[in-house]
Amino acid sequence: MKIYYPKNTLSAALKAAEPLMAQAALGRAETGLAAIRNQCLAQLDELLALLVAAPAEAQDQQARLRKVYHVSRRIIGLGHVAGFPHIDLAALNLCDVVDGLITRNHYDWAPVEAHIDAMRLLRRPDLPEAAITVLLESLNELRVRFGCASIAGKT
Amino acid sequence: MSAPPTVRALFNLQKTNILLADADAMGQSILGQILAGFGARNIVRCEEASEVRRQLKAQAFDLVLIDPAGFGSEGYDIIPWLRREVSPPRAHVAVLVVTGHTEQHRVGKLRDGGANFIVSKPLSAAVMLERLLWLSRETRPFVETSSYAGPDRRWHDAPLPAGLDGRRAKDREIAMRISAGGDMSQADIDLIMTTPISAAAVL
Repeated sequence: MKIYYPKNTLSAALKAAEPLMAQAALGRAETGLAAIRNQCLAQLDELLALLVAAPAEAQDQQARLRKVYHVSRRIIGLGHVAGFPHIDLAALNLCDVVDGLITRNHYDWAPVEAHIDAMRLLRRPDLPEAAITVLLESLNELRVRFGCASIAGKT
Repeated sequence: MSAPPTVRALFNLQKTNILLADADAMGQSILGQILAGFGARNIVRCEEASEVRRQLKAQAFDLVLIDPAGFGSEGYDIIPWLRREVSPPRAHVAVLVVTGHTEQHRVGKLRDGGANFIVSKPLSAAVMLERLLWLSRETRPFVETSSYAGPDRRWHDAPLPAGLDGRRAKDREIAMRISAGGDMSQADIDLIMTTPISAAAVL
């Protein structure tokens, strides 16, 4: 085994720069994120449309599920910036469910479609907080049942 | 209640050379906005795995942010390749993996890839700031074995279990767990938490 003690060049670079209060840096970062909010929203809608179309596409089951996984993974993070953070949680859940289905070669579309429907509902700006809570709890139950966490002997 | 220490830290990425590797343009844009807010000016952006490797070989970075999932299976090979195939000191650059979801069969590969930290999307600016401060304080040595190359994965400098003598001169004794001068009072802790932190203290 070899052991190295490298210089932390990130630390050196931070020390070399003119100091900036982290609170101000956070404010600037939030302003920057607000500036791309509409772009994120447009991308979110585009990806949601792809998700809605995916189950009916003329590919084999696994290819369709993989597409759902990749689209859903791309959504994670967009909702947070676009003002719909619960869609991120649903997308993360969906990734776990699809990963679990693929891992088990179990092509059950019901939990997938339930997630997609829920994500479309979560996109509505007027959805009451109580409804959001119920939806997310239901999706979580599906994740517990179909997701990777439910696979026995996982590493 | 006073602001958390992270918020009061002094911090600027103005002189930091950053490689931002994300196959998704919007994901890259989100991370880019956060980094720009933190003062970053020197950001090299890559949307393809081959370009990431080329850049890592071609120039020295102080920080690498990467979402390997977007590059497919090739993405998970980039950090192990960096740690083994790129010459030091470039191989030892701080690597922060930012990822949304990792497929079950890739969790082990990601965990053992040699990144300094792994953070989950969705990522807020505050979490990113905190992780970057952690990275800047990184003092772990790099280890290279037949199965792993990267920062030492042992975090704790704990003493030996009770009843063991140890084999090395550096092995610490159980007695070191007990504070010699007694624990700090809450008033002392509050005093530290409310005093502004200088860059030297943070870094």
